[in-house]
Amino acid sequence: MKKIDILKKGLFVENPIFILLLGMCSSLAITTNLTNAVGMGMAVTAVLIMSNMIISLLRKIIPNEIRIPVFIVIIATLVKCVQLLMNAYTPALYNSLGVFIPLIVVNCIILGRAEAFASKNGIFDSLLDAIGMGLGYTFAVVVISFFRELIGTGGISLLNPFDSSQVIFDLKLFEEYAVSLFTQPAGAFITLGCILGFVQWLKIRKSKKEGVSK
Amino acid sequence: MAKILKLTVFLALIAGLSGAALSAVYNVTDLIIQEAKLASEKENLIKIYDQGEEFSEVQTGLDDYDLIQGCYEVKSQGEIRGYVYKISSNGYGGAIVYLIALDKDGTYKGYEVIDCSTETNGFGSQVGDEPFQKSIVGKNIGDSIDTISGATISSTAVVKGIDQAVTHYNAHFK
Repeated sequence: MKKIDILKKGLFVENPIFILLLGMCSSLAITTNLTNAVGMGMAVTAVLIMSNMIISLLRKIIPNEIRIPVFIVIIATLVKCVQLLMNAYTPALYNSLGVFIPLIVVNCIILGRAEAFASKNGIFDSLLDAIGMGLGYTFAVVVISFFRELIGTGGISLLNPFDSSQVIFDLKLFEEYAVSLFTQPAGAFITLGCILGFVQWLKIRKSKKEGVSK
Repeated sequence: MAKILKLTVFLALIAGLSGAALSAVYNVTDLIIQEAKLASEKENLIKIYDQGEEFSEVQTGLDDYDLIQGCYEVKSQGEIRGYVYKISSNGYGGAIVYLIALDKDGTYKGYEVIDCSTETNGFGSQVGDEPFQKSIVGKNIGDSIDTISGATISSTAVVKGIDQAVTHYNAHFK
């Protein structure tokens, strides 16, 4: 597989949320607004990159029988470090993401990529895979939160995750017609379901085209 | 047998290294986290002590006092001026969060409500109003504070919290 393909596949063809259907808990919970989604995407990408690289580095010496506990110890340590760093340097984001930062440990994307890719490939390839998957995750939660925030609150805004007082943009479009259901869990499921349906439609259309051209 | 031993040692090694890395990160970030916490509290503390005093957090002996959320030592030019307690007590509808300042001269230096939004408007919310504040500030520490008629539950909760602060103050700082 060419290097650039390893990175690209995480974005669309093997998007962790829309195609592989991993990490859905967090994607439903933190997509209430765009700022949280961007912040969480960055945290997950950071953890993914580090965990993929460390596990790839150690892949030859980790005994096969205990590989899962070893992965989990490494991932849990990384997530705790990220949590402490976020508490220190991005306190506003830390407070709004709350319990979902430590829940990154059980985000299936991290363990899934460790098991499926990093434990079987070199460091550079694992880095590319992590970047691709992390960006794919970020893209997915940004899309979900875009719809949820727009329909749920009638506006969309983005604050700088590192400095919550800095507003990057803040648009208020139609507050009276906002459907507040979309800021709640039920709305999260509805949004995700619709997007997944759309993604499936694209896939079927694409395979039909390829089938016809063959 | 040797295999299980090898696996155990390896896992223990990984866990040990992880613990070491974690404690290193903790040491670096803990300072910043404590400072940030103090900075956010300071916004409220300077409502009482506004002459540029220095605040530092005190942790001693707070475990037995369930209502005390935090205790801050107030220093002015190196001398201890008093102690400000952040209390959270359960009122009528939820938690009332407030500061009570015990000055070294033996009086209540200040009383500031941070959050009494859970209390009924016009009744329990009186704990955040000026008359109640005036009835506390200036009184000697340990003197009884009158509760508000028509807002018994809310004001009793506040007084209960202040009592805890006084007990802690007498035990540790007097």
